[in-house]
Amino acid sequence: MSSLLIDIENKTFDNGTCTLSELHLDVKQSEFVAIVGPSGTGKTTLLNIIAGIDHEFTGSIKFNEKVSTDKKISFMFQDARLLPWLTVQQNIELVVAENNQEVQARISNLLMKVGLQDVRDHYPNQLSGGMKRRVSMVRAFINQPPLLLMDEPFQSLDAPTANELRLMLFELWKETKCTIVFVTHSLREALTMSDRVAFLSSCPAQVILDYEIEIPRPRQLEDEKITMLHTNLLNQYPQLLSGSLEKKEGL
Amino acid sequence: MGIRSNSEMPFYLKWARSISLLVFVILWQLLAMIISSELLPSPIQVAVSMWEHLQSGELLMHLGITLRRVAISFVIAMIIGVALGMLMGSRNVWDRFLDSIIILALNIPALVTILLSYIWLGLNDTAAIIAVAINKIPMVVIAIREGARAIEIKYMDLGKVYRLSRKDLFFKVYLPQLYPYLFGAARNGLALIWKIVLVVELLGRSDGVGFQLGTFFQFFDITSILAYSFAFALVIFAIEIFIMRPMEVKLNRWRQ
Repeated sequence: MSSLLIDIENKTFDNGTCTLSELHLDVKQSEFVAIVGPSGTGKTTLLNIIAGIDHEFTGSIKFNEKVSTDKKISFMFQDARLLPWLTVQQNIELVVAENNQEVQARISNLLMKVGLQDVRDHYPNQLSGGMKRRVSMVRAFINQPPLLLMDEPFQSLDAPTANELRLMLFELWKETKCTIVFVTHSLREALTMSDRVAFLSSCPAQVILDYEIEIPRPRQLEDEKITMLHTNLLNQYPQLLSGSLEKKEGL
Repeated sequence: MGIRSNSEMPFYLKWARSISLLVFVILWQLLAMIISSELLPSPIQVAVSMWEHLQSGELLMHLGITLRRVAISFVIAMIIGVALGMLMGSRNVWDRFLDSIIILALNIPALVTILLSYIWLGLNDTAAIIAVAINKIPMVVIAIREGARAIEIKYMDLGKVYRLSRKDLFFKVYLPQLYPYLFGAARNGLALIWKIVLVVELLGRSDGVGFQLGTFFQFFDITSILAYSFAFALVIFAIEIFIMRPMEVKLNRWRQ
């Protein structure tokens, strides 16, 4: 059974502030897990640790029973993060280990799916914000990654563009069956996108609530069921988004 | 810096570079005619002299020798300067250790390095080239260090997350961020190096443009001095127009 096992005992920054402590989370294969928590809890740090670019922690990250040094992790950042001096095509090719005809076909296919086949030779500066995100989504999927990490990838986009991208992500996820860990600060987005939401406490971050979403797909951000769930959750745990399950503040 | 494409520029802007040169030459010609002294030859006289030196073959020979020295010291200064600059820009320890040395080297007069180099290594080409390179290296280091400090961590993180090879990480992610600084260093380098090479040749070589200028100076042959200087300036112009500028345009295509 391949899955992502996150066991972080402790992650402390050099300046002494503890960001993550006893954070445990198991993600099943092909599962879409959203992580929601107050800002500044270290959600990005958590993703960096899973991605293997931050090694300064105690504990372990295992992917498919192995310590994760897997080459095929993909990442979508808060910004599109395309290299401005490379064209769309080159930006995608950059992350491909071995460029061949099959890869070329995959790039064409994915660019077509997100409607960018005509701008493959453009530079990122010539694209709109939404188009850049689409390129970075193609880049994230080009290696057919078993694990995709996303750090508030649709932040700072207008609502229609963000919705469109969420739909594309959903389609690609359905096709590739990759495991997704999706960090967001928007509860509504988390409820719409994911199979399961892990809520983090404020610093030092732990998982305080692991919530399975049973609403059938496809879901839209504005769906009534999502709105109801959103309201219910916040009625039950008024402090949830501040990282606490307490009824009242200040306990 | 607003770069406009040639096609949308008005006529006078398109040719501004040539026009300013032309005005300069005309003023010079007028001045030479008014003063009418051997101390200020006219541009026409200089051009004739340049042609004569060219015909005899010696101008090309000395030009070639000087250019070779410029090229070798330029390459050495750039390689060492860029390597040190990147090291100091990215590793704090090295920056601290080497900083005062660089400041010192930056402020040693070119003449001192040249004299010492000749005294210690002998009156030969190696000494000449080393002296020139030592003069230029600190400036390259300073420029490249600035660039290396401005490297965007977020792009390096991207490279690490996607497990890029060291080669790709360096050539496709790191180096392109240094291009503007490399260009600045190369351009300033060329201008400075050929000036120092002339001094080096004047002081301790028996060929090259610098040596020739020294000889003309002894005969008060101002026309030949100007002819040689302008011949070299033309070469630098050609390098700028045919190598530096097209390269810059190519590397800056993505900035729109």
